[in-house]
Amino acid sequence: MKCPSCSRPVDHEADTCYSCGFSVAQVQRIYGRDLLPMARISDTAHCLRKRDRDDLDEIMDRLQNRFPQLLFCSYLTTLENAAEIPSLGFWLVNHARVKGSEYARPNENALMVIVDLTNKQIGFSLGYFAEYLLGEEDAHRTLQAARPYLVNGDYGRALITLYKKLGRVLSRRARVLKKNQRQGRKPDYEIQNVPNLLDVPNHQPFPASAADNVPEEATVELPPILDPMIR
Amino acid sequence: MIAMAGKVELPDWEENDMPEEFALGIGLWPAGLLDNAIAKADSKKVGDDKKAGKEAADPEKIAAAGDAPEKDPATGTAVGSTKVDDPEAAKNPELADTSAEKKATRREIREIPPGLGPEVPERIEIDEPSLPALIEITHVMPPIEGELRDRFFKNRPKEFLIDPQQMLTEQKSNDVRRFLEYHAEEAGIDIYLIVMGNGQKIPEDISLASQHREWFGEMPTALVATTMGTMGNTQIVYGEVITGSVDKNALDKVYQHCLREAQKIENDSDQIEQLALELSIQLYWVSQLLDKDSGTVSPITFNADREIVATSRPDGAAMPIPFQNRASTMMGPLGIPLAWWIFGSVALLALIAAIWMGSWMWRRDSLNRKPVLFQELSMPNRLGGEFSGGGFVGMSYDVSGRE
Repeated sequence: MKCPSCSRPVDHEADTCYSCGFSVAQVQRIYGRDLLPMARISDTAHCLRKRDRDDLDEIMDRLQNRFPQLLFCSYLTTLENAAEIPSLGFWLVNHARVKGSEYARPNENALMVIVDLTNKQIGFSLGYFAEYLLGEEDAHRTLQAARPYLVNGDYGRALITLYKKLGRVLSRRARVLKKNQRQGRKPDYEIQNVPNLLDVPNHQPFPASAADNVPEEATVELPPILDPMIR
Repeated sequence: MIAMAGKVELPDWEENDMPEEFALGIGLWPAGLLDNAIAKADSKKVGDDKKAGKEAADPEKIAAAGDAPEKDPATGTAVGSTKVDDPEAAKNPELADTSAEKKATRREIREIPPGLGPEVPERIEIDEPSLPALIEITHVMPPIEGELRDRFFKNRPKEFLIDPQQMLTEQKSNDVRRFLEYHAEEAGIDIYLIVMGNGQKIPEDISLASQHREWFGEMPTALVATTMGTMGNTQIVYGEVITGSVDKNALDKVYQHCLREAQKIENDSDQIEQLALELSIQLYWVSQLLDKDSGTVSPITFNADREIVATSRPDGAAMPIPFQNRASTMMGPLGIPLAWWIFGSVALLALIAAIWMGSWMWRRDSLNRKPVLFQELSMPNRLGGEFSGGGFVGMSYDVSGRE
């Protein structure tokens, strides 16, 4: 678990980053505190054709049928700063309200694919439960499967390949979990909670004033990409 | 000055001792060389050198001696002779004597008086003995007796190949020995092969059958005695266990089959090896037919191709099809041996199983399978996020290399 801002390791129960004091309040100051209604495939960069969207819809339907607890969504955008994409993903998973998602698919089960066409980056923003299901290595392998199509600019094909690969990874993960459960092993979540081997400074709670500085009814100026969607 | 010119030495070839051998240049050579008088003078003893010198200097004497060359009517010299530039020198006998002395000196040098120089042995006439026109090399080996006999027949052989004279090469011997050992492991009838040399015979007082009985007793063993180069003298003794169970005619057929196959090969050593091979094949199937319980072998017959054909057991049960017949009859539909069909079928089944396994492994992760439900877990919040703690895994697909 890393901080979206400084990429330093963060304890799984820390309210703020040990290193930079990053928390959800900081991204709320940038993107706002309101919920963001969005479609399952949000193409704000307009890089997907209709056929691609149809194919993508089909594969995502199959994915959701296979994994009814999980929420799959894609967000294609253009960002000015390459460092924004983790924090944007962090904010989106916490504030997006995906159309069609039911109560059984809360955002903590979300696997959101974010593509930044400007900086040519792609990544998974994961909810809490999705973090447990999709490890870093598996997620990277899944992204690698789509990389050839991304390089060629075939974003529709890239996302389809990515979701197919993601389905296989999750199926394998489900088998492992089922096997562990049968053998009475502890869940991986507890196993992964190992002492931090990195030189992380002692946790000093970030000043509360910084997080609570944002007024409740304040108007947040959203980036131009997100602004039209909210309206 | 002119007189000095007359003393100019003539070329060496003027004094050629055997002018007739250089007759190719007739007409071009100096007259003295073509004159028979010189040839005659050369044939004389060297004793009268001065006389010879005078004769050589006096052209008239030379001309008078036999085949004198024609004289030039104008000058009076012989046609073709070397013409002396100075007529005075030609007429002056002193000058002629001087040249004659030089010639005599050369002849002395050339003809070494006896007693000086290397001694050349006189040619000795040797009466060559009258050798026979053709020496016949025979490969007939000594008879088997004495120590050699003991090495053959005294003790029970420890190895399956009995070749005390090392008739086979080391390589071939090792091959045959290993093959017979392998046969002994696989088949129920051992083969002991005695290799004798050309012309050798088993001593008359030794019976191969009694030797078999003495050595092997009731063991089902074939004792084979063969001769290098004359395979027709091969003897095979099976012992009472086999001869009492197998039809004698069948064993004769085995014998003939083995000999026939072995004699197809020209090399003597290879014949021995082939004999062992064929006998091994035949005896393997004979041993397969041997009833282990009763110790009897079912009647064995041969077909037209002189191959062993299965017949019925004594109890009337069906017989397994023996060796060559099995190989020839159990052919697949397309003329492919049945063994290949079996092998191909097994390989095909394995391939199908592998494909099915791969397909199953692929399909089990397919999105079309039944829904997967994970165990619900309550996760603690992080960084103030209600649904996400900022978990992000990303990568760049920028191949331009820019930051």
